[in-house]
Amino acid sequence: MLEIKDLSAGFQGKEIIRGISLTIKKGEVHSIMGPNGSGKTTFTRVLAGHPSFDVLGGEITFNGKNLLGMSPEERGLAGLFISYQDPVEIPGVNNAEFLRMAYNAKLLHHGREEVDPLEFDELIDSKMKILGMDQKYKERSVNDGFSGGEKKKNEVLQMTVLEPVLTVLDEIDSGLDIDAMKVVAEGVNRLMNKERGLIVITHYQRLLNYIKPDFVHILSGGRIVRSGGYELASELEAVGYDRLIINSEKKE
Amino acid sequence: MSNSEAQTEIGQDAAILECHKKFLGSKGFNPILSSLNKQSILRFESLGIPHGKHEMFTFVDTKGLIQIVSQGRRERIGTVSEDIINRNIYPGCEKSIIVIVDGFYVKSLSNIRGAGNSVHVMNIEKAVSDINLNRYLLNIAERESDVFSSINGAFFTGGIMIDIANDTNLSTPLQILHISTSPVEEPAMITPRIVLRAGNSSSASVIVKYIGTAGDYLVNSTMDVMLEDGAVLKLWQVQADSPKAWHLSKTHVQMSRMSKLGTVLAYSGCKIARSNFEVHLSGEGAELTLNGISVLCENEQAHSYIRVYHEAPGCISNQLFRNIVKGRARTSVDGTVIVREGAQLTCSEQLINNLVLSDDARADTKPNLMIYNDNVKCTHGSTAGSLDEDQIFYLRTRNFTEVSARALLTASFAKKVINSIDYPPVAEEVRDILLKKLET
Ligand SMILES: Nc1ncnc2c1ncn2[C@@H]1O[C@H](COP(=O)(O)OP(=O)(O)OP(=O)(O)O)[C@@H](O)[C@H]1O
Ligand SMILES: [Mg+2]
Repeated sequence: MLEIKDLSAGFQGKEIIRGISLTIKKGEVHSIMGPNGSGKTTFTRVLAGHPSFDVLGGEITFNGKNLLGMSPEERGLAGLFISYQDPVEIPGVNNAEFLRMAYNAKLLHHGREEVDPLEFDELIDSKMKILGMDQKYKERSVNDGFSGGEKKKNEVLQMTVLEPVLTVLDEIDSGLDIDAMKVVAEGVNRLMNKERGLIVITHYQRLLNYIKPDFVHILSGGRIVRSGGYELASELEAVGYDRLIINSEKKE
Repeated sequence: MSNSEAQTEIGQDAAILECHKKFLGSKGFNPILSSLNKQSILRFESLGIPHGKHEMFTFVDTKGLIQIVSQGRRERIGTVSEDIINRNIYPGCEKSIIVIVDGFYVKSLSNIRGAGNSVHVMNIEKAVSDINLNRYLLNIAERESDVFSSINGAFFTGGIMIDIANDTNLSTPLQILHISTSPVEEPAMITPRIVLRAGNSSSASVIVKYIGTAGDYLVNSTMDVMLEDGAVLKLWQVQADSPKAWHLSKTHVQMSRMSKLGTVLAYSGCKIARSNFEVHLSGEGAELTLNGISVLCENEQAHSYIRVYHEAPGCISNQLFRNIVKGRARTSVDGTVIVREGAQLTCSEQLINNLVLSDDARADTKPNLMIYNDNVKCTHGSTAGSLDEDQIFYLRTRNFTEVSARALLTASFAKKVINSIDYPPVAEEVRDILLKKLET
């Protein structure tokens, strides 16, 4: 469903993503791991269509369409959902209302009727229950004053409501306590099926014990330097990036 | 100031005095108001027409205003259709509506049966036969610092006094509807005057709405508000004048012991709109909440000049202003909180937030604190900025178009102040009037 060919991208003339190729098929779970500053978040920004990042080369097709030619909202409506490493706070915008508007935009896009606040309440309540989120997060402003973990849960809440075709989770585990991580992983797993795809960006194997990836990719210096199966994460955990990356360079 | 400029200003001073002389000899003049009118023209003489750099008008270009003011006051009441009145009465206020046309109370168009016996509306000419009220108003006139309010004082007739009896608890708001009509060949200035007294332990909400039929009128309005001990008053001013109009408003508020005022100034702006809001917290434990919202497009302007005097111990004042400017619009908030020597345990907060949506729009602020005693908790601050691009992007990745993302963020910026109007029909209308302007 997602095909990335030789993507390079950067910021103010500086190349950060330097030739990423990656194919994700329906039903697959991929994990991207890599040291700080290797370009993981930048990669998600480029996927989302952030205007500050320039695509310098390569192409991305998403379900047959040219993703790079689409606006951020068109990408969202086409079923791409990217959870943020640092979710943005929006004081003054009610969380439930925001999510209802996002949901209704999707319904409209698919030619369906919008839901009213009451109907939406039922939907969001059931999703919040699964994630063990308190009702009070409906009344609060979007991410405003949320703790690190609460913000991450709120991202996953959006994901479970919007039911995207392809989800990219950028360090969803950072900030979550052990119990919350299990709950969140559970929520993510529930959503996955044969028709959907998932990219999990993380530093730790722990999350991957709960969300089991079919493929693991190591990103370093804006490039995928190694790809493998789930066992690559264990290897990484054992030897660390330095040795793993040196090893993989030797292999090349 | 150049020589010729100085001369025209002296000329305009004289022109106003001349108009006033004529006014005193005209049919429109009512001798009962003579002492007030005269006191005010004396005050006008000593204040004089503000020159270009007058500190009270730092952000307001008064030239055009002075031009109009120096032609004196309009005498005639214009005609207004019943339709325009009906369209501007808030749901629920049908039986508590006071209509003022071109500054004159029109009893036949008003209806206050819904307020029962606890609200007395009388001509101001009758009200000032009460020697205490007359003295009170004279006292204010003598100290008035706003020259335009002095001009109102010099020329007004036909105003009203609204007296809310002690212990009254009004369940529906009282609406005052100011309608200004097109001047045609008459002078453009009209001078509405309202005195509002909220009696001991009374509780009421008052909506003041300004509208205009097409035209370049100048509404130069003054309102005197007195809150007696323990009175709780909500006062919402909705300025929705014709875009070609000029709007000047002075509100003078006196707050006694344990009284509470919650007020919102909702301005949609016009050629120049300026609100001067002066509050004296003169009784112990008085509490003021003063909020302002304006949304301005094209060449519209709205300015607030706020003076809050803490004169007694244990008083609280909270101010929040949110202004949105677009196009070449201009807004300003010039606000000073003065804490007098005896006003121990004062709590005061002032926050001004401006949202500037275009390069040519301007938002000025001049927050200031003058504290003459140590035992106080006062804060003030202001911010100005455009919409947050990260927030816009976040919303776009969540299916919002750029336009709808901007609209949502702009509306939420205004929300806190609009929601502080706790009568839904007014809050909804303000939301409609103001936010609709952003769609164009
Ligand atoms: N807006 C920006 N301004 C300047 N530099 C940027 C910006 N965005 C990314 N970069 C730079 O690009 C590089 C990649 O950053 P990125 O956030 O993609 O790393 P990451 O792999 O997500 O790291 P982490 O594991 O710490 O989250 C870094 O050197 C970073 O400083
Ligand atoms: Mg990152």
